[in-house]
Amino acid sequence: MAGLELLSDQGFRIDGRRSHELRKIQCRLGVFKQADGSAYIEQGNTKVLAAVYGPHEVKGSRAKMLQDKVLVNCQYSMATFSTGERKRRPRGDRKSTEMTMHLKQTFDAAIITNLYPRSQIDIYVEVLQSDGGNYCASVNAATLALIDAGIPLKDYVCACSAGFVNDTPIVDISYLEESGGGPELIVTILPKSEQIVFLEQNSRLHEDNLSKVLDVASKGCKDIYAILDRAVRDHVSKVSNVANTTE
Amino acid sequence: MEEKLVKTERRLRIKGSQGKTLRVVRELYLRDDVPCQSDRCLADCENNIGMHGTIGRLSNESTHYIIPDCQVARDYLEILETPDIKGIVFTQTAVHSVQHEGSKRLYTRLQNLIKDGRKRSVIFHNEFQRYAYCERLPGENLVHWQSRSTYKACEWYYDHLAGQIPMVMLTHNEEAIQLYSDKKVNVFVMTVKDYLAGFWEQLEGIMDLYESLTTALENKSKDRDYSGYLPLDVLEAGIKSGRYIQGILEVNRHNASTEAFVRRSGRTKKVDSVEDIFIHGMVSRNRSIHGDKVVVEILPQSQWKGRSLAICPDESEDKSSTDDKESDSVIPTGIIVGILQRNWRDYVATFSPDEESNKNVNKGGKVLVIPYDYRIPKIRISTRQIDKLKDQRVLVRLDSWEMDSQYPNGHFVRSLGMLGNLETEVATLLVENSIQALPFTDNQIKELPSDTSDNPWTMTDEEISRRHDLRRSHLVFSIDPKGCEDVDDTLSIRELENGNMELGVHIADVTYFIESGSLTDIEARSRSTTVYLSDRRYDMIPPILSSNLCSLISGVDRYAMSVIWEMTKDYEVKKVWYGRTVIQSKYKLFYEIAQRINEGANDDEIIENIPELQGLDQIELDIRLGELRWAVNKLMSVARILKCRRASGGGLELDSVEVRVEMEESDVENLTPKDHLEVHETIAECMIFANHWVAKKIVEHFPNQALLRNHPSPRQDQFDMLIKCAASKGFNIDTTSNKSLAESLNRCVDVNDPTVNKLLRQLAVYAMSTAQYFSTGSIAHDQFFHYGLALDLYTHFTSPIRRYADIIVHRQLLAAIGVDNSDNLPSNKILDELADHINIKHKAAQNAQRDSQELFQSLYFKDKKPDDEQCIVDAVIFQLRVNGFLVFMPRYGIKGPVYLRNKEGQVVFIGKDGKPEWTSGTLVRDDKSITVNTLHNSHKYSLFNHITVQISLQSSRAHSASLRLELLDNKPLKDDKSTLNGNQNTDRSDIVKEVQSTMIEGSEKELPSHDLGPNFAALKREFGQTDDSKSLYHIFETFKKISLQPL
Repeated sequence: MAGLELLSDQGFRIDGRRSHELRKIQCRLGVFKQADGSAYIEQGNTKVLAAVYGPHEVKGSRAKMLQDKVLVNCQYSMATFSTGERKRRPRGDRKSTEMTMHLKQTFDAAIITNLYPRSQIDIYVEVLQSDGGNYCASVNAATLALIDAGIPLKDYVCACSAGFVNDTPIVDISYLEESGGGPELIVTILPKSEQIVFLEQNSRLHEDNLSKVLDVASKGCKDIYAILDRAVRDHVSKVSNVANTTE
Repeated sequence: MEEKLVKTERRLRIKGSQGKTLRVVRELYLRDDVPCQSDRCLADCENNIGMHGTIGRLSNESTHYIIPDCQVARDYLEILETPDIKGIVFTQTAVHSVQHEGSKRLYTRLQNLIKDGRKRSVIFHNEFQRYAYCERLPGENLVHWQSRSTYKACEWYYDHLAGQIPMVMLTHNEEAIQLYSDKKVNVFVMTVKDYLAGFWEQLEGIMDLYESLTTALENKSKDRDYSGYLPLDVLEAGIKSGRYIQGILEVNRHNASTEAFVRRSGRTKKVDSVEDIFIHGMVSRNRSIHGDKVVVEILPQSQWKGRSLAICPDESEDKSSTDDKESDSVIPTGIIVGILQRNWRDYVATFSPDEESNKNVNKGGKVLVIPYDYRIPKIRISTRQIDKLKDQRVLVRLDSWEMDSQYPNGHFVRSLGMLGNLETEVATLLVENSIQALPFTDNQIKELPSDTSDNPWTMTDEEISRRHDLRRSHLVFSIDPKGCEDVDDTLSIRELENGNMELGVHIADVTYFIESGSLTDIEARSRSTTVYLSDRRYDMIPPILSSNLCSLISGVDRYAMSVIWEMTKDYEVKKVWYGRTVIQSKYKLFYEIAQRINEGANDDEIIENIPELQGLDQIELDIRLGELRWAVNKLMSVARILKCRRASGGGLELDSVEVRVEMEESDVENLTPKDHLEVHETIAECMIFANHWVAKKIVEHFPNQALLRNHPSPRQDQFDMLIKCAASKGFNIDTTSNKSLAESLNRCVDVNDPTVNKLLRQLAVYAMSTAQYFSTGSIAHDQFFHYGLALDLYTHFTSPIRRYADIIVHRQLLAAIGVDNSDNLPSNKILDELADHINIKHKAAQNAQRDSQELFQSLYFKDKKPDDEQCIVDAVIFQLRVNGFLVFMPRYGIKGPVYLRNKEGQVVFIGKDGKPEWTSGTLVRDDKSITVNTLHNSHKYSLFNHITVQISLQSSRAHSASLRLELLDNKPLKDDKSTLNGNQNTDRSDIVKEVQSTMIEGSEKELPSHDLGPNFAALKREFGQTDDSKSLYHIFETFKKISLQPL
């Protein structure tokens, strides 16, 4: 494959977006009845399901129990059919373990943990289809699921990635853009306070350009926030309408 | 915002890394706001997005827009590249097809076409436009889908522009023509042939080009010529693992059929310390051509070969011959296993003269042509016009090289003219150096202000108020060669009230007239430099600017860019000021008079030579003379100090290294001694100073994207020859640093023979690497330095009229001082590409200049009889080879080989009667001398010996003519004193002058139609820089006359 042009001179990316445009986001809350909270999100072709259980008492080894705050337990897995070539195992490989850890760190920081000492919250994330930005979609889905479960959060947690091609930062990069080997910055923020919860960078990026890329990524997070917020409000009004009519 | 985009999906099958086919789904966002990039657009498309602002858009002057389909874009791109065909819309579909189905090289050409603002062509992202996109139906074949997409794009354009302009879709798909041609009025679907016949009938040669392209396509057999090479992934893996080496193939000009080298290219961009790889013979060269990027496999050491040491026919001095290896020593040898990128350009070629090979041509068969460049193999083309073209030079392009074919296939593009004609030869050397010099177009001229007698150009008050006005406060003057018309630098100096000194350098403000991204700017960028040939020049910017509005002539108000230093009494810089100014140059001095002023010439002499001082009353005159004397003296003393300081900091005492390296080694002018005055150095020093300070400023502000010029340290092994030569005369050269080199060169003076020092300095110049432009973001900070000038930072700022780099630097400086905003400045990546482009263009300009000098040399000796007094000259031996030696002829400043052994193995010796004779004998060579042993006697030739040689012309049909040197005597030319005292030189020039004047009379009488008058004056102004009696320009002018005379 001759080198793909990730950003054309006219400013178009391979999939027809401009550099500052997000992929199409569609989401739903409350997709499962059994879980305390659940959500489904599509960011372009990346599709993620998230389910939240808890807070409940600590299951398994009681040694894990924390006296002053809630234990956040995450599990990230990728469906075997989520990638182009069928995956061997859905979880437990190094990549998934790392991702699990990242999710745990993120939500440890975002959930108001001291409200539920000696208890546990489970967040299960399943990637159904992977097309770049798996972490971001997982975080966004988990946020929705947590909101659906009614767990107190400091703020929405929004994640967005950004890349840097031809001296231009590009937001919300797809699998094709990720695999080009260029720099990638993944940012998770609390949109209202603009605090960074999580920041990861792959490959090399010159220091001078960091702030540019970071700005673009945070802008993307805020755009995502707007979309998630609308989805939550729609959901809440729908639920309350249903509740009202049944009464 | 989201509503604007519609998401769809595209299903693709892609071959995975293990060879499996993968089904991949990629999303695709369709949108309404894909810009049409047309000036006719009625909807408000955001057409200004993109790299070049308003440029690169479809013009409203075109009568129609062309949309080529994928196949046409691939196969007939060359036709679309014709400068006259404008307004081409490449669909994204076609671009992808070129990229993936065509070659990388083709894709680069397409990109260049789009980037060229003059072509007014664009890429239209049809697959992102909601109403122009067609989904590929299940089971639809690729070609069908491509032509459907192209037609849909055509329709979209037509509708989008509300039917204002007809669209033409070019396709070779008969089915598509039938299907679509009658679908919509004013959306035409036709073949390239019909299109050319219908629209471009008047365009000469385009049909020929079409025909030859078509035949070349037909002949392209199924198996590609790449099949003999290893597949690309194997090559890439091999390069990564170090098994193969990639590099650029460079064929030895003098032994083209057997010797070639691969210059390694890799991570280290500029410094290549690793040895080149030797490629022996055509078989191991495996169909690669000079300049191609190739992959080499190194052979086992047992198969390594050494290069031949003999001077081959036509060898003159060249760089590669300096690494003089022992003949039995072998060097890494390899074979070419793959080609990463073809680097074919246009080639000038000639039909071979022998009738035999042309016999079958009339039947439309193939014919071999011989390229002008020795390094290129013969090319097979098919033409029916052999009779017409037999004695002409023609332009050909390469198409392919089949595995089973000895020679590559190409096609005929156009004819350059008759052989031996001066215009043809000049056109040839322009093509061979890839220089395009078309006249400036009307649109470009229209952008610029005009200055005619009834509509003179004036300054606006508004602009003046924005600038620093130096017209009253400063005494500004210029010092240039006599008769110079484009003055781009002026100087000023004055004493401030606090006793400090204020030195100013004022440079023509070209950027004020040439806006970034304007047509003139694009043109200047693509030319990059003014090209000076021996008898003409090709300007970088239109003459209205170069010799009028930007020229800082005396007595006229002009805009300038100034750098002004405030210095203390000890000449320490206290303050620097950069900015735009208005100046009026008071005096336009020339070097000689400035020098005389410094030496204390009397008033009358000064007044006589400076027209600005004439006709003033006595009191005024005294004041102004006093001022001028003070200024010139002060300036020279300041420059002296600056130079001293630079020299003590390690500055190479080869003070003109920068100039010499730029001019390339064989610049005749600096070899024939010109009066070197101190004032030359003064001006040069001031310019170096200005350049240095500007470099400082722009680096400070743009640490990652400033355009600078560096001069890397030379490789130590390059000095071998210099050290060897110097040692033969008993001098010791220390090359450890630029300072020690300069000092040891200064010591190498032979009182009896001034040429020794001159030659050694030239050898030192060969050892130098070339200075280059670069963007500061692309190389490490410790490589910024300039070796020759011993400065940590250097750039070019002082000649914006003739160098594009200076224009960029001007813009960067303006942004750095906050006058301009920095948004439009090129980023590091673009600047890096630009710097490479400028470097290439500079090199091409220098090569063209050298070639043109060689051309004129050969014209000069063309009609001379061998015993003509002018053909017998004194020569100095400076390099020894197995079968002869290389000599330098101080009289003409030419270098060349002299053979002591001919092809039959005979050697030459000088008999008792002083006549050379060829007879059997042997040659013995050691480090310092070469000895001819024959039965009769033996002669020893040592380095730096003076001998007498005879120059004659060795003419060649297909290539450039060269000079042949024959040994006449092993003693210096008896009556030749020119090398010793230079008097002879002047006498001879007088003779040349006499000859020349009769020539002019003669040629004017015989050729009344030849318009010599205004042309001659203009050329004289440009090149009449030295005193007539010494100027080589005049000698060359003579050559021109000679060539114009009917034979």
